[in-house]
Amino acid sequence: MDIVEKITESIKDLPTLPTIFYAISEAMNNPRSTTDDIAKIVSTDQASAFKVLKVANSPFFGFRGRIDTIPQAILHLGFNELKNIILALSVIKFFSKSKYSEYLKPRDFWAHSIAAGICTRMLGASVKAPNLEQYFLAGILHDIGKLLLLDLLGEQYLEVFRIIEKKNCLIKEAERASIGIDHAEAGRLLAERWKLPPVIKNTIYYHHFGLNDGKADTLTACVHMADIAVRMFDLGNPGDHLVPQPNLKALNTLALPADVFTDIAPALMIDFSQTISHILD
Amino acid sequence: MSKLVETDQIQPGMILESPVVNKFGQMLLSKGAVIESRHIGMLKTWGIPSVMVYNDQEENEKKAYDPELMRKAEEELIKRMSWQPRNPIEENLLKAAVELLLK
Repeated sequence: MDIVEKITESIKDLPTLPTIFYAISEAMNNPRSTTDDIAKIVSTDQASAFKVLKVANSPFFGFRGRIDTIPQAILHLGFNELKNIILALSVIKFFSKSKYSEYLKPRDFWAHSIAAGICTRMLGASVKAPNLEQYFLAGILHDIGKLLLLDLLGEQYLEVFRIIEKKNCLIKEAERASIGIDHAEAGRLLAERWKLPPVIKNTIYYHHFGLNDGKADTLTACVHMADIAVRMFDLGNPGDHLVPQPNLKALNTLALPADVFTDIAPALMIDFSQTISHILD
Repeated sequence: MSKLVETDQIQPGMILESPVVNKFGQMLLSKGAVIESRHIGMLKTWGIPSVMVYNDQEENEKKAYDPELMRKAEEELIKRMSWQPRNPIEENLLKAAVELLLK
């Protein structure tokens, strides 16, 4: 059996996400659900509810320090943003018991992902993107395939880091050379297994290109640029030391303001260090 | 150290030393908030003449514009990039990274 088949098979045995996420999605899809119903589901896990509130108060959502209860979070952020914060936290929690390597420590991996999440949302806000509630989540999950591969392949995946050390290449190139698929593809398989929203699945799969199956797409382009920007800003560890070149087609789709990065960088740095400790500590 | 800055002179990235309150006593921005460009328009809309911000910014900026240090920081980054900026956005990304590196 080749590695790709092995991965596809192993994914089938992977547990689903915590039931809280599916319970909330279901409640939100039910037109009769009230804010209280949803608040009750979120509050069944007090520890998660506390984290959700801390993240909801992050400055980049724009309601710093004013959200004290889950119903307030729903009121200010909306059902979807709240659901997406819970989904992001569920995925982080899911992988908290996984294998990790010296090459890719959990805190450094999530630092890169969380920085990308904040940056994706800031870029989305700067171009007044619709559906902004998907941006933080899409950024946080873009590299989830790396953790999946490390989890499923263990020792075998470490070969990837040895290739990076020797050739100083991008992690996706080392993955393709050593395993045959890269983390974007692995991430897509995981997104399918977990029935994540299709937009999120697509941004995971296409984040290296910045286009959605060749077509202009603001969210995918924002994740693409955020990934590059936080590599440039040296936030967290994406697994290699390089900064890939932006795809011009993706960059042009966004029509970003000319000084966007110098404009968001100071706030990004501060939001980043706060959010890291809110989510991981 | 903090200083009073007129609303026209506010730069994104400045950090508020005290909360900004409108004429109804509602808090517009809290202490410690990092000012973004969208906030400046809001402050103008509310007719806020000036705000108190932390002053450390100035020293950082002085350092950021030391040409020798900037050149070195840029070299470091270009090594990891293996590409050159092709447009104003990519130039701005490099500039933002250089400034962060020097801080």
